[in-house]
Amino acid sequence: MSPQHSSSPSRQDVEINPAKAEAKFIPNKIVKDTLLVASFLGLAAIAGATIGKADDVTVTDVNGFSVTLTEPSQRSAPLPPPLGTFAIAIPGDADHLVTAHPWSKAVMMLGSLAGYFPSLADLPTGAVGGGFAPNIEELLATDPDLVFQVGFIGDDVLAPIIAAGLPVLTINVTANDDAMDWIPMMGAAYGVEDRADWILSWRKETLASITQTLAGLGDEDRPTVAHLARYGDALRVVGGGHFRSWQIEAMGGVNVASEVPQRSAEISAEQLIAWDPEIILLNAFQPDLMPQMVYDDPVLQSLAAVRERRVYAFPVGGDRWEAPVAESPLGWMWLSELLHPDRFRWDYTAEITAAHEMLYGQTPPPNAIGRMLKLDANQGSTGYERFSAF
Amino acid sequence: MSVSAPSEAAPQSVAPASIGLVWARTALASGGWLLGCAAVAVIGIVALGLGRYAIEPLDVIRILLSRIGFIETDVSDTARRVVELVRAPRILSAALAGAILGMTGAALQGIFRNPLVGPQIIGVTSGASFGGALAILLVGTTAATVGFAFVFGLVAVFLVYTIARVGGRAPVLMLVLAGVVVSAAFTAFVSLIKYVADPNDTLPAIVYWLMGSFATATYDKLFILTLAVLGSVLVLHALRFRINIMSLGEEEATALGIRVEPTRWAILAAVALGVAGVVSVAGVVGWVGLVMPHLARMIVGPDHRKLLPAAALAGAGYLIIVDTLARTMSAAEIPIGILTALVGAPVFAVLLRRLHLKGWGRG
Repeated sequence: MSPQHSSSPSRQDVEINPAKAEAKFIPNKIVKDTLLVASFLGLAAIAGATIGKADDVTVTDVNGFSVTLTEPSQRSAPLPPPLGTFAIAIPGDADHLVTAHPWSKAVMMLGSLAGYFPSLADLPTGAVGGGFAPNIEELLATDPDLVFQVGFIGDDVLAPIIAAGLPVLTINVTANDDAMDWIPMMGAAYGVEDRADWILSWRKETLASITQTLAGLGDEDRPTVAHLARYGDALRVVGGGHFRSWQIEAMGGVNVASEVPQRSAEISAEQLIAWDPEIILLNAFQPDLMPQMVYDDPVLQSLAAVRERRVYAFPVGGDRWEAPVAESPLGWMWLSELLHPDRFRWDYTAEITAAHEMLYGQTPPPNAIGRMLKLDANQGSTGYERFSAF
Repeated sequence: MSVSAPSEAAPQSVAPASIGLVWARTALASGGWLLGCAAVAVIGIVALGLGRYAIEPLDVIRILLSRIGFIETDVSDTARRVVELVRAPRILSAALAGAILGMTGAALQGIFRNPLVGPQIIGVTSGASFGGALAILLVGTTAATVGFAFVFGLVAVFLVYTIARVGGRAPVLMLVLAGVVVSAAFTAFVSLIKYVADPNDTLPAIVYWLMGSFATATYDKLFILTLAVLGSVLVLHALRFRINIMSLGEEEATALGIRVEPTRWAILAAVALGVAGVVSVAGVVGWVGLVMPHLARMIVGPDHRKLLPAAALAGAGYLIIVDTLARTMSAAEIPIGILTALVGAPVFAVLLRRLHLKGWGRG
């Protein structure tokens, strides 16, 4: 198994603006050709193509990194936070990961996965820190056969892994649904293309179904939404450069902060008042956040979302539904119904149960559905009773 | 960094040629102070009318007057909340923070007889940063953050002083070097706390707090800041003559009957109190304590009886302006530390070039 690096000049720029990065490289023919080849290889690998020896599988990522695996990965180290739970969902068990990002471990302990896979409690997290810098010795101590790392913040977070002789595949995190790339890549790495296909088509079909139901939606019918990335000790809002902004727009809403180019940015309470969103979404990275805190905030009393009690805490299943995770389709169902209760009516018990059985091979206990949907935290918010009617 | 003492920063001697001249000078001076205070007040009121939520300037005045009880007004509840609950505590916090940073900077530059000294150099800021970060990590309440920030601000100064003491005295050079050492140590401790903090919950809180921002200013925080500032100002004001004498140098001060060590301690404690107050409510706001005293010294000269309040006024006005920029320039808040450095560094460069013309260069 050996890591090879094809040239991938665009990977530093992909984070901010993929379109810009692409445009920047067009004048250079060689680069353009390399990109073409890389994309071709990527497509080929994503499709599960077999290159080289009969049993060898070459997997190439979106940034042109490729690894040749003599057998499917059994001990992967998914360092970027969203990949931790993907490394469980794609193969359908917790046996394929040897370490994860601390954020990822935190949500495993917080959500359903700790109950499904008790061994996760012992999962080490020392291989990667709050940034994305790997701790090579900790990483080597977990004896991985494949490392997943972010590909958009420079070589410093990759070079040590490569120098240690570990095969590495990278991901990008842009303002789109990048998980559409991650799923086939991980499926190929774990040798479970069929499962990856199912997970990807569930994702695509759910999105297509929602898009279809929203067809013909006028601008005036799109509620304005602010997704608070942090509330309490600081006020941060999801900006236009984030998956969560794409998600709001795709579910038929308008992100009031789309003018903010960053993924998330600190704003003043006054800016939120000026935007005056109809709906406020609370992040699940702060597990104790409840709509009542916003309803009680003296500064925010005049907000439409507060007066009409339309503040909602985002659910957590196996991972946070607001993030690009394997359970994103469940988050899309929830958000689409929240924004357009007249157009959507999902059966959450059926959907969540089916999803968890397929993704994790586990049936959620009866009381778990309500906990995932945060019925307690959201019960005082307008219209939330429809989510408990199952 | 040069730590050589600048040429004699003698206080302006009051040697009146005639009583009439003194009277005229006093009148002129009072006029100047009134003008300074009025300027800060005007900056504050203008800032109250600026923000991301559009409010007519006249409505701001109406809201203020109706709050005092002068008039009845039908300005919207939203506008009232924005002015009273968002902008007012924020502007007042920025003003108080700027004032105390300017004043403590001036006092430190005086007793250390060094124009490059600011609250950051003697370790107070990094000590307070560490205390606050530790409180967020272990406790998580605002009161703890403020308390820890203050205690560790003082601990840092105490350490600086202990390290610097040689043969019963703490020479200025040693104080500054010890400050560098202690700052570096506390900065490392802050990094350690960030490293062990829960990246899900505690770490962002610590990072936002350290970046420096008045975005979350409330009346509760303003109250805490006011107490710290009041305590600090009272001590510094009471010691303003002694700061003048200390700025002549240790031997001269001793010869003039000043007990140098306890005086220095009192001043450092007052500085620690004020700066810890600022750090605890707004995080680390750099450059104000370094640059504003120089600006003030150019206007009123090196006499600390005038310099301390002048540096306070300059700092207050400056920080209100910078914070207004931070909250109005874009939808996203701009961390205030970036702006104070961007504005402060070039201003400081210009001031340094002129230093030998005014204030420090005298004698």
